[in-house]
Amino acid sequence: MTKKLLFPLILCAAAGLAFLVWSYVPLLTDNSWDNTDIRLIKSLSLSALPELAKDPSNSIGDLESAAEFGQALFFDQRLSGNGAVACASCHKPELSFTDGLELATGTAIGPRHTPSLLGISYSPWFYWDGRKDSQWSQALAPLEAGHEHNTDRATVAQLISQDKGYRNRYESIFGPLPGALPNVSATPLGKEAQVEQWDNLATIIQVQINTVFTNVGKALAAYQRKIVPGRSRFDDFADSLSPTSSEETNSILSSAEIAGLSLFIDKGQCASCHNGPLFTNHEFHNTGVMAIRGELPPMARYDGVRIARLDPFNCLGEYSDAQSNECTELRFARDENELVGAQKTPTLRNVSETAPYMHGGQIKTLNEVVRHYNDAPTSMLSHNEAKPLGLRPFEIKQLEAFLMTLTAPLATASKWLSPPE
Amino acid sequence: MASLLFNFFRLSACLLLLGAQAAIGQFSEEPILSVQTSKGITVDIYSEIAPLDINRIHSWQLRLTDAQGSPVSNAQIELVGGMPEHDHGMPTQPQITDETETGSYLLEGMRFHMPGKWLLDIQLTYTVGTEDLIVETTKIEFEL
Repeated sequence: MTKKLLFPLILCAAAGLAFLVWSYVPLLTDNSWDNTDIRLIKSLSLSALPELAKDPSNSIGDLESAAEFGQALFFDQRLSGNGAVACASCHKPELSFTDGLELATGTAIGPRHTPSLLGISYSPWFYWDGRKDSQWSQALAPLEAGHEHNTDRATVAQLISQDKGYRNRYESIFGPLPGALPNVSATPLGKEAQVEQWDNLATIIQVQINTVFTNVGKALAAYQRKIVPGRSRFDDFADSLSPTSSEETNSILSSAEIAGLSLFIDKGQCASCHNGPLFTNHEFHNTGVMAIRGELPPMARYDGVRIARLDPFNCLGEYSDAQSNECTELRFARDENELVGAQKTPTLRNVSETAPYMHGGQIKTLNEVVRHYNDAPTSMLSHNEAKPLGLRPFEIKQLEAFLMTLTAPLATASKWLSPPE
Repeated sequence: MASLLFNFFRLSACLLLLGAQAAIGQFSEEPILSVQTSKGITVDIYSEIAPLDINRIHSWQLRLTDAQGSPVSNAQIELVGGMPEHDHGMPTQPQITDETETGSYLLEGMRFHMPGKWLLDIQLTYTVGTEDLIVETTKIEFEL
């Protein structure tokens, strides 16, 4: 009896051991890189990040005084219906300008996860679905969104006009404020009473309010252009990499982190979308992420590009400072069916500080994110662009280890990271 | 036959990596890509960004010449591109917006968002001499 059982038991134990080895024992990896690998790795370094190009739609985008004005606005809770919500309430500097929540919570719980703002000024599109084509235009929408700041453009213009400090800052940057702005709560996008108030205003007053509102957005954008990631251990590794890398280079990252980098650019296919020094192509992809609980899967970029085209505050609109030929992203934006369910690729800079992940914060940890891409589940709407990766459990750990090397203190001067004195 | 023809175009398409970086608004001195159609039209592509790079919107200039080397004017050109290995297209919808010189066409809205193999389909509609309207499609494959 005992002998009869012995063989199957040994077989089971051997199979179990083999499985454990397959799952958890890293392969002996060769740390040498070919020239293509090295070129790709160096293209991910912050050393390859070009100077931030001017935003032609925001002529004051690089003015220091505008950034200072924007900083004051960014931290000002008076820019909200309940006097308790500022941009910084969700975009917390200490969390790489995210909030650690599944869904953004301003005056109420919102429909999307708060994205990181690190290096986001480099992006041609804003929001998870790219419904905004400039950073200043993006900054306007949360102010009037019922679940975010829940205020309105007329009230914002009134605050700028009535607060002596704001009035002075505004006028030194944008010129004189209009003489008398009406003290009403009015917007074309608000509740019925606010829309009615808006419709009752003369067109010239509406334009004056929109202009002040736009300039608030442009100052907020000028401030946010200061928010840039800092050099991480990965950047030091990438910069010192050569075909005959020294032990010194290889000691910058651990062997697990280096193996993770290798997976990132090769078997994991992460660098297909998370590319360039900001680890994002600023584009939109359907990667089969589950819909937010209780919601239908969103059309995402398919709708976003259409919303951007109709937005009066877009690059081609009357409140933009750009010539129409400078609005190339908007003029040549794609709008086909393959954008159904496609969300924006987020930066991976400081990704260890920006959990949870995805457009609805549906995935809690980096380990689960990597496992999601490893599985590449069928998309609830349209098709998942990603394919299953066949990563072993130890490789998932290695990828996760590599992602942790992208975290570093921001390059932004500390004076920008708290409310102005 | 179609695949043979395609392979011929793939082979004839050459990606020339230029050392000098052309500024925005200026095109490379040499073509970055070049392809000849089955009816002998040469399409030379000049780019504002050379060598080509990902994640930067820019323009191309397409110069069309016939078998005798004469520029092909008044052509209609449509370009669509994508990455067959990733099952998706370009992030933009580039369009010809002007024939800036005889046979030279401005293509605006070019952007590539991934490293890897890209395949472009260029459809040309044109006449040469007294011939009827010719419509033909040519392909260019290159690696970024």
